[in-house]
Amino acid sequence: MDTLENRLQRRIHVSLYALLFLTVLLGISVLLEGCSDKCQLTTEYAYFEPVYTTLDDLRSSVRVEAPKPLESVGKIYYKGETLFVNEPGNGIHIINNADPAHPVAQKFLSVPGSFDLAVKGNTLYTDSYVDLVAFDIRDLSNIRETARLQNVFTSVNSLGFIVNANGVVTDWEKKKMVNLSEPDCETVLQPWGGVYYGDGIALSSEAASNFSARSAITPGTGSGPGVGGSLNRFAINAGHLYMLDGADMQVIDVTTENNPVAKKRVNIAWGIETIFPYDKNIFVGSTAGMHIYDISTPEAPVKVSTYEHVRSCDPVVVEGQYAYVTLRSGTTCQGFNNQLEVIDIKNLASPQILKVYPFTNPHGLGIDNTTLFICDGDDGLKAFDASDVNAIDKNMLAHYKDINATDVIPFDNVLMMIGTGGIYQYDYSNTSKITLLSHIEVVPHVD
Amino acid sequence: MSTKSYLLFFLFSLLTCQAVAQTDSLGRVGSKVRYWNNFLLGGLQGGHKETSFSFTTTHGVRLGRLAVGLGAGLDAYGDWKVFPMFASASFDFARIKNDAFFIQMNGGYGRAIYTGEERATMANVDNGGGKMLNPMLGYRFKADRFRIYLAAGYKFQRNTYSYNYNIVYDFAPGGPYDFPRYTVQEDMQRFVVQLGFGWH
Repeated sequence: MDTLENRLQRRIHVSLYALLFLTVLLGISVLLEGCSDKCQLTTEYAYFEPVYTTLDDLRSSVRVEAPKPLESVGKIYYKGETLFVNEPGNGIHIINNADPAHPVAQKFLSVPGSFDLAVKGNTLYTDSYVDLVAFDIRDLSNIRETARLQNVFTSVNSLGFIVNANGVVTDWEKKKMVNLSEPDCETVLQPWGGVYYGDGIALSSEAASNFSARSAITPGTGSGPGVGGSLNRFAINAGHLYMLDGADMQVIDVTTENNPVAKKRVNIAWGIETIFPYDKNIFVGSTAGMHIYDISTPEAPVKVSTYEHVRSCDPVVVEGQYAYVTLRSGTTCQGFNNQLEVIDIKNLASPQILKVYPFTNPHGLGIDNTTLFICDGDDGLKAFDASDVNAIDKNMLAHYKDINATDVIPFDNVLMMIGTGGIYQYDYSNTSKITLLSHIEVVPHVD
Repeated sequence: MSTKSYLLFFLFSLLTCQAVAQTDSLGRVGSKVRYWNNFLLGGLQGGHKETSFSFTTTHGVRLGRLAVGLGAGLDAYGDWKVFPMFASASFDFARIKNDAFFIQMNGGYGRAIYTGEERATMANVDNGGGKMLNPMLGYRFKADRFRIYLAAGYKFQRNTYSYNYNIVYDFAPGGPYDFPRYTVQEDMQRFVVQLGFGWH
C-alpha cells in the first residue's frame, strides 16, 4: 500500500536527484560556455581629412606683398641693414633696420612652406616645402624669384609635413563624428591619442576642440618653434649653402648666387637640428650631441668628431676655441637637463667638456666678442661676460625678466632677440648698460 | 535554444511539478507573514579561471512557500569590487518538515568600484556598474533557531565604465593631444556557490 510516508520519501528522492542534476547542469553549462567575459571598447572621434594643394599651385603662388603684421616669429637673418624675419609656413618679412630703434617693415615675401632662410650677397634663399628658392633682393622694391631647386628636400615628412602624390597637406578639415568599436578591451589604439581613419585622422572630442590645423601643418623641428641665429637649419660658408634635411646635410653651391646647384649629400645622424658655421668648420647640433665637420673642401664636408651628450635639444655657437651648447628639457626635446655646456674645441678631433652651468630652460644663444647671451625661456634674456669661461655665472651683465626669450643674433652692438612676444632689439655697446631699442610685436593670427 | 534556456525551462518545470504534489499532510509551516532574511558567503568561479568571494544579504517577508525581499552584497571581480542591490524572490518547491529545497532569483543593479592599480594604459577610471542577474538553487534546513542555507547558481554582472590613457606622445600632427575617453561594456558571468544562515 502506498502510504503517506512512501509518497513523501519518493518526493524527497526526486527532489534530491533534481537538485543534483541541476547543479551539475549549471556547472557544466557555465564551465563550457558561460565563464568567458565579453567586452566591448568604444570611443567617439572627430574625423579630419587633409586638404591638399598641388606642388604646381604652391610653386606658382609666390608673391611680393605690402608689409603686414607679424603673426608669428620663426628664423631671422640679418644682412646689411635689413632684417629678414621668417613667419613659419607663410613667408618672410623684410624690415629696414638701418635704425634699430625704429625698424620699418618694407615688404612681405609670401612663400608657402617657408621655414628657414639665409642670405648671400644679393640673394635670399628659403625653403618652400620640398624646394629651395632663390630671390634677388638687390632692389627691395623689385624682389624677383631667380632660381628654384625642385624636390631638393627629401625628408620633409620627418619635420611633420605630409607630402605625397596628391601634393602637400596645407589644411585639415573637420568632416564628421565617428564611433570606433573594438571587441577586445586590451586593444591599445593609436598611442598619440588619435587614430588614422580612412584617409585622415580621427581625434577624441576633447582633442578635436583644441585641434589647430595651422599647428598640424607646421613642422616641429625638435628645437621648439625654431628661430634664427643658433637654431637655423641653413648656414652659408665658403660660397656654399649647407642645409639640414632629415638626417642629412645637403650642400648647395651658391658661388653663382642665382644659379644654386645641388652637390653632395652627407648623412650625419638622426636628430640633427641646428647648424652653425665657424671658420672652416660646420657645427651641427643634435639631440644626442654635436657633430663637427671640416669644410676645407666646401663641397665635400669631412667629419672631424662628435661630442656626445645626454638626450636634449642643443643649439650651439662657437667663438675662438670654445663651443657653447645649451641643453634643455621639454616634451619635444625629451630631455631632463637644463644647462649651458662650455666645450674646449682647441683640438677639434677631441672636444672636451670644460664646464657646466645650470639654467632654467635655455634655448638659443649668441656670442659676440666674449659677451654671451642666453635665452632662458620664461626666465627671460641673460647676458654674461664670458671672458673667463670658468666663471660665466659669476659675471652676469644683465637679466631681462618677464619676457619669453627663444633665440638671439648679436651683431655689431645690436642684439636681435626673438620671443613669443615678437622681436626685441637691444644696444649692447655698453655691456654694463644694455638697453632696449625697439620691439616689433606679434599679432597672432585669428581664424 | 541555448543550454541556459534549457536550464531555465527545466527549473520552472520543476516548480510546477512540486507545487501539485503538496498536501496538508506534509505539515504546513503556517500561512502567516513572517520576517525572512539570509546572509550568504561564498565564491565566484569563472572569468580568467580565478576564484573570488561573493557576499549577499537579503531581507524581506515570507508568506508560506514564497519569500520576497530586497538585498545587497559585495562581489569581487578581479580589479573591480561590485556592490549589488537587488530584489529577491524565493520559492520552496519541495519541503520536508522545516527543511526545503528552494529556487531564488535575484535581480538588480551592481555598482562597480575600480580597485586596481592605475597604469599608463588605464588611468582616470570612472566607477562603473550595470545590471545583475543571479538565479540560485538551494537547500535550507533548520538548525536550532536558525536556518542554514546551501545554494549554487549563476551570476551575471554587467559593468559599464570609462577611462583614458596617461601617456604623452609628442609627434602627432599638431599635437600632443589629450587621449580620448574609452567606454567599456564588460559582461561578466560566474558560477556561484554560497553557504550561510538566516531566520525563517
